[in-house]
Amino acid sequence: MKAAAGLLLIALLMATPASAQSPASRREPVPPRMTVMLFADAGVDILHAVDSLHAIFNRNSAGSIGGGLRVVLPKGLFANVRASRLQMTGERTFLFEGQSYSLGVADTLTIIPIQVSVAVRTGRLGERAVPYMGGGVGWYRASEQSAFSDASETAERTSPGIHLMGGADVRLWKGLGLGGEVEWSHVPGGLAGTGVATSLQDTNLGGVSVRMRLLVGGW
Amino acid sequence: MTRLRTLLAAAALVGTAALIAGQEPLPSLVLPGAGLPAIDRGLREWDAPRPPGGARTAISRLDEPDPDMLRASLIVKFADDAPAETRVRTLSGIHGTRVPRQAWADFDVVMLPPGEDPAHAAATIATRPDVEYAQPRYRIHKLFVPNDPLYSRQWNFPAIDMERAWDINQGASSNVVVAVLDTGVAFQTTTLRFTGQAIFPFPPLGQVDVPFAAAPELGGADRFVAPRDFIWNTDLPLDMDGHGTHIAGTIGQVTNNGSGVAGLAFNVRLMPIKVLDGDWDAIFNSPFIASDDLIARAIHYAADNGAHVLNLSVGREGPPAPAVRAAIEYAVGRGVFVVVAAGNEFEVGNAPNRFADFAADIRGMVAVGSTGRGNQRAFYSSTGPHLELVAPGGDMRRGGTAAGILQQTYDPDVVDRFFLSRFGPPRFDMFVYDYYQGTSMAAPHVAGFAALLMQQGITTPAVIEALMKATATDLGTPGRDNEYGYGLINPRAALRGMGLLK
Repeated sequence: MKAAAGLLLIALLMATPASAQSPASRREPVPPRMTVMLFADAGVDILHAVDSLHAIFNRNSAGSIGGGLRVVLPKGLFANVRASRLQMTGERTFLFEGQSYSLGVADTLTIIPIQVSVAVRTGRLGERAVPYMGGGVGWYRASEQSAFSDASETAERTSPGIHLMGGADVRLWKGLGLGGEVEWSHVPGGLAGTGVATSLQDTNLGGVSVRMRLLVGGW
Repeated sequence: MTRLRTLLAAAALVGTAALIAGQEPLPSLVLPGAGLPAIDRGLREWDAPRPPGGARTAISRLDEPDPDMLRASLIVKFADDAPAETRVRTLSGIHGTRVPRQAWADFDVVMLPPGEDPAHAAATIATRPDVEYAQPRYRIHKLFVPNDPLYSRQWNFPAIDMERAWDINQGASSNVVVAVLDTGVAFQTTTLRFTGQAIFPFPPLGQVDVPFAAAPELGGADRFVAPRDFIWNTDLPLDMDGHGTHIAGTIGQVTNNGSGVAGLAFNVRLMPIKVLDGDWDAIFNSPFIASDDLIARAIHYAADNGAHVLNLSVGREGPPAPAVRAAIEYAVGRGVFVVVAAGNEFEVGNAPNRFADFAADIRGMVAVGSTGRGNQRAFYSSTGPHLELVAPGGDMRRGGTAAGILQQTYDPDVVDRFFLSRFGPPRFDMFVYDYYQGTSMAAPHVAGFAALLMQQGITTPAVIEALMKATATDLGTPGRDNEYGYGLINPRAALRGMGLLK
């Protein structure tokens, strides 16, 4: 999955820039003004914390949904503000000599990143596709709730992180478009605390995400 | 009493020697169907008066005032079409102030002046047409607090947060078998005929029919599996002391039945194994007395007959016990978790219990010390490098009788009849709820705790031990120490395990 995501990212970033195309090509005029788009997306997040997530959830990937606002600036720049949500359910555990012993008590992890990104449109792919690459910062809120827990036993922390992303948007009809994006994020200590992640020194909340996106607004 | 025990032990040794010489002991005679139901004589509590202003040792939350509603506030649900002015007017009638509405609430929480009765205020406005309902903010309690009437005297369970542990696991299940290697258990109703031998200064009792009854609070016959008596060499390990019955109660007393007291792992099945002879076993000339070889055989028996947890509230001082150690290693190797009382010798030389002093070397066996009501080490609880965990075992020196561990056992008035003026045959069919203290009482807390973990899916003895240690509440010097080991057991923390973050 990681390899596929990487290839997709490379392919998107290797697209021919608009300035390299022939003068007769269909150059789009630079947007004369700032426009706003709304988007919603869904995808798969593959998290870096393989050991600690597998100890409780038996996996380190999950589907996520998100949405946000994009401000398209002149000169091919745009800025995104995006929030998303990912949830995993497993069982609380005890670690002993490298093995995980499940205790049958349900445990739910919810991750809500809020990200601010800046990207530049790097060119055009064919008639409609517009590739881009960029990066930004985010605040990643991880909360954990377990069966039989009281308020003092619920864990929650918010950690800062960075991300890089690349993708392409395809204009389908008027203000409606579809996009694909790959993102790599790094959130050191995002899973720190007194739990399994800290025991295993495996607390990076970041990962690789692959998502599809629906965009509406001024292109 | 020590002298008497010495005499009795000597007599039993003579009996054993006679047996070895080929002389058959007089077998006890079972009179089938001749048993009468047990007699429950209630609570036995002679709490010595404490000096005023004595140290507060009680930590029972049950002793604290516990209002059933939050003060000076109530819940109000207005009709959807009630105008804002009407709502304000209604609340002003009870001097109430609405607080900002919380998420997922379709009602309001209204604060009242201090001292205002929420129930009265709610009744005042509940009949108004703009109010759908109004009620005090009743407190929610834990899901499980046993309804056994004497549970409130069992400080030992709240002391280890058992009520919240029971929310996660209610007393294990009958799939888990806990072996109690002790003086036997009052698990069957019958009558046995014995011949009481003369032991100075007591006259011979001659032939006596001794009634036995199953302890009413230990449950029916289906609670018990593979009983074995290594003192009388039978399959009828009946208790002639009360110690084993008390311990079996801490592990598995029938709970939440509206009667008596509670046990920790109240759904397990018990394997009564008699390895310890009491005074009456000696007077009745039991063919065997407790010794290392007998204990070792009993441990093998328990491991081979399906026990998952083994409680050894017995021991001795003196030279090491390699036979018992080997037997425990055998049992642990077969997946049995072994709990041994650390010993009660702190004030008499602090010699280690030789059945416990190798506990630190065996992963899957723990040596358990004792704490009193304030979670301090009990005055008698042996210390040393072998100690791994502590659990409530009672400390009556600090808290009087009620600071002991309460369980059902025999009425000592009809068992301990070792006074010349009233010497006579005992009865083992009359029961009381009695307070005991000792590391013997601490160990079954850990045995029951292990049973809960087994039921929860942690079945490897070494993992159980590691989990108990990792989640113990550290007491005394930070980290492991010789007084409290890794600390006081914390069943709830262990049953919850670890999450990703916490």
